[in-house]
Amino acid sequence: MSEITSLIEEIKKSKKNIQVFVPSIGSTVTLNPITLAQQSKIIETVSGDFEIANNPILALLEFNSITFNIIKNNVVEYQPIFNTIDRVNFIIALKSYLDREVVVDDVKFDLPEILKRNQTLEYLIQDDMLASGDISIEVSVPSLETDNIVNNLLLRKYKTSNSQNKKLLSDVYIFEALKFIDKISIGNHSQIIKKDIKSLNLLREIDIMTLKPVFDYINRVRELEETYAKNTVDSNILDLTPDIFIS
Amino acid sequence: MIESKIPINLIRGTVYFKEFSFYEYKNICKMLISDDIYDIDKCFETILARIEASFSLNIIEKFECLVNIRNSILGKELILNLDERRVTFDLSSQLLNLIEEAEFTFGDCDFKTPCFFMHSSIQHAAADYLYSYKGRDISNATLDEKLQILNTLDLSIIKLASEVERIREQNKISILNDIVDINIYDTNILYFLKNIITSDLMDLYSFEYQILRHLNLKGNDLQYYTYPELKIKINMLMKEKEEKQNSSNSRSIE
Repeated sequence: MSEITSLIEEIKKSKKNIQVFVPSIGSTVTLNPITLAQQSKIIETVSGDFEIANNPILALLEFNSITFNIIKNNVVEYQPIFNTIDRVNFIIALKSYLDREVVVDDVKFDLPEILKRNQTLEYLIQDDMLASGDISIEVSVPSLETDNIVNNLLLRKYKTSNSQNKKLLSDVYIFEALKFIDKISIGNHSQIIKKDIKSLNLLREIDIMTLKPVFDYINRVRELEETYAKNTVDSNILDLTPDIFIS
Repeated sequence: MIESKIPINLIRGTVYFKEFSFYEYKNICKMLISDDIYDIDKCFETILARIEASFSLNIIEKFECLVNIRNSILGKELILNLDERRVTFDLSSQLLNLIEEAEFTFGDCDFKTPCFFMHSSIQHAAADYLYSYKGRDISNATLDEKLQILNTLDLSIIKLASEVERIREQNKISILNDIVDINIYDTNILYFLKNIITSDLMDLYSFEYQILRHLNLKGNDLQYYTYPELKIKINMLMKEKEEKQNSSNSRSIE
């Protein structure tokens, strides 16, 4: 074994890891800290591409895609059921290993305090069956896997084609619905909603008022995510964007 | 065959380089036509591969080697037109022994002046600066090995990048009567080196034509002579011709 290899082994042995509480399973898992290469990947992907750097929505989608891979790689016993609410704690925990405190527009966020508080929060969301007229829609908080699949569908559309960015915002809504909807039933007929373009086209056919209960559910999930990202001393919300690792 | 190896005295010790022939220098100038900074860097790394050293050169030492190589080919003077007058600068006194190593400590790691002018990413730059871990010298590790060490340490790349940036900002030096600012930690240093090392290619072709025509040399011979040697030979020829001319003039007067 070379001197450098043995040094690396020595560092690995003394390496610390992070214990992070996962709201959806109500228990703690072990997370390896974010590596230099992973930090570099976030910075280079988000700032290196002109299209992405100049579009906050694409930047956030790209960031979520990278953080999904980091979480999947760094959680010691990763479970596919981890969802987007859990992601809040994972990202805060990864950042807290590098910096105890984050300052955004003069507002200080004490990350270990936020994580500590998050263990006491009540996990107020569950899978639901929403009725809209004669249509019933089964929804759930998207797993990180599902979130990543749909984000990549959207990213691929806007990175590989000349799709107008004007359409991006309206597309985000329908892609968001795709993340949350698991099944649609009309009478005796049920359709499983796979996370693909075919299902997306099906959702586009549904009248917006029918989907309103879905968007209400999405809002409840997003509000819960914000609760986990809320400051412990005031009502400010920590934005979980690429900036958290760049600043 | 015994090769001509020129010593360069650096603070850490003496290194040697095999002189460049006229043919090689002409090729260097061709490579340096490009304004692409990656091409320029690649050309300088090719030149520096000729250096024989018992240690890895950092960018200060590489800079000093390139200035010495330049001086061995073109002489140590640099002539500039300033305010409509020609001013001669001695590049040895202007550029050598001028820059000091930079260093900083972060966690258990010490970082020092890097070995490469260019880096493909922030993490590669950080790895290049890495010098020791808990006092253990790892300066001879490869860039990939240093990267593995940094990755295992989970440091904040943003904090490392800001230290690297601080070093870059603090190391600007004014030279040539304060008309030029150079910064060894800024990739623009490569353009400065390019400017002082290259010669006009048409001048080189014209010189080559004169050499082949008057010195009875063949194209292949240019691989064996350096540019200064050929200049000396052509000057000797000119002097010889001048003396012949003078003696024939004096005979015709008699």
